[in-house]
Amino acid sequence: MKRFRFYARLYILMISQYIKARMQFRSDFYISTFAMILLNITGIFSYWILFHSISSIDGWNFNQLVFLYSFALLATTPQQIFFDNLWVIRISLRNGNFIKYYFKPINTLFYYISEVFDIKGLGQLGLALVMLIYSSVKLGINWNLLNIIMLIVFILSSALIMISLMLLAASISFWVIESVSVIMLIHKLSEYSRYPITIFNGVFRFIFTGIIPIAFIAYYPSRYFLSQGTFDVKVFATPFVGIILFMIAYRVWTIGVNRYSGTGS
Amino acid sequence: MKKYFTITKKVFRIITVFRFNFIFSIIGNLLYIIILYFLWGAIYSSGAKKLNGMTFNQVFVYLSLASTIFMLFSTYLEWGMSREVIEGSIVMHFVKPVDLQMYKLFESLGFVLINFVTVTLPSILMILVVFRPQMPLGINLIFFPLSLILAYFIMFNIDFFVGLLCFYNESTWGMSSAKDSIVMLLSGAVIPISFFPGTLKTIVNFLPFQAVYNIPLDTLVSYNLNINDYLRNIVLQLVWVVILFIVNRLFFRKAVKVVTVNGG
Repeated sequence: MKRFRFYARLYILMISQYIKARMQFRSDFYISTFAMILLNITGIFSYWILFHSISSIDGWNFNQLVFLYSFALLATTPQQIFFDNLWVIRISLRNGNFIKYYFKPINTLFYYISEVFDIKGLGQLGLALVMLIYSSVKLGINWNLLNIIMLIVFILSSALIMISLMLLAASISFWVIESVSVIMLIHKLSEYSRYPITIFNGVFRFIFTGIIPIAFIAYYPSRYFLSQGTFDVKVFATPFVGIILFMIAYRVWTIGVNRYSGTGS
Repeated sequence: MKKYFTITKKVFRIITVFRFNFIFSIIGNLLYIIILYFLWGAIYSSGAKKLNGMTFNQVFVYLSLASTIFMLFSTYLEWGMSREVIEGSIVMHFVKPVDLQMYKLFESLGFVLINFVTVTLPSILMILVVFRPQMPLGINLIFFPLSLILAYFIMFNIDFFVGLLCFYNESTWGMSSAKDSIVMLLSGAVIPISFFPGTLKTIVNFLPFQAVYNIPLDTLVSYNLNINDYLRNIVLQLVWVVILFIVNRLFFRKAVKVVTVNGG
């Protein structure tokens, strides 16, 4: 507990320094927040266009798809805000700066990710919440205490899945330095968690459930809220998938960290 | 002209170092195409043979090629320009007897060529072999490459414009992804233009974006166009190339005045 308090205090200190530094570039903050929101509005907008011609996709109507979309967006937000530094790991590995993370008596992963707090992710969070509230009002979802608790549990577990996938992708950089395309691939894959998994055939359903479990990022947890009473038991596997995946990802990261030997300069 | 092609060759050499990235770019694109296949399969499964005059096959070819063309045109031009402004190395272009717009055009041409060989060709082969799509085979096959080349010139100018905007602020990610979102949506690369509701379709037709994706792709997949339509589309694209080229010339003259490079 003492250790946790220590890390929490350290995180706040480091992030406030980071935010102060970023706020020198205020126009960057406004433009990237705008771009972040635009990026996601584009996604919803294409559904809106599509639903001029059709009334449902695989039994899902517009509001249900918006709910699924906003759930996926909410689940990827913690990764976006707190783990954004993973995108550029190749740069510090290549120029040797990564060696500095070994020199402090704190957790290497913690030290690395606490250097960046992605402010524009807050725009994404805001948009996701607005969309979630809009669609759940339209769908008449009853937000009783149990449902709110389940929402928090599911969001946290889905977020953990997303973080683990990105951590795994970023860890590949320890073996192959120019691996930004792997991170991009995982990032793109996570965007496909916005579609109902039932549109795929058996093979891809298996891959997205069992191997790269993006179905647990949004599809299964959303089912809990969208089909009250008749959902699949797989829904409740979500927290376990998150925890197990994070344990694997953290293990791979540790192996990578132990393997890195700097650039020699 | 020869000096500009040297720039193209230079890029070609640098890029071949990063082979690992290309493999994953191809995988990423194929995955997106598979997703498209299933998503639009589900959309068409309700029984409709045609939606807005397009069959499943046409939509599939249209959108999978749109994604492949997006990869083809990914030259990260505005990223390079923004980095040069921040680092200050942009002044090196000003002291040389080369025109910046032409320099960047030939530099991005190098990226396009390498993208074509490494990502576009394998993707197109995969689309043809795995999904065996049907499309009209006729004079459109001559107009498609022509239209695609003009589309590249339009896209280059849009990228260059955003690159010039990066002279004014340091938000490269923001500018670049805002551009991608707007271009992809309003060009039909995410949803074919024929699915757009009436007013939106009219607005989009007055914008340059649909000339990048919708015109070449429509040329390729549509059965309803004749040679006059093809020619009219080509002329429209040419007009956009000229307009955007001139706009960028004028904008460059203005933007170059705000560049400040400290020391060196």
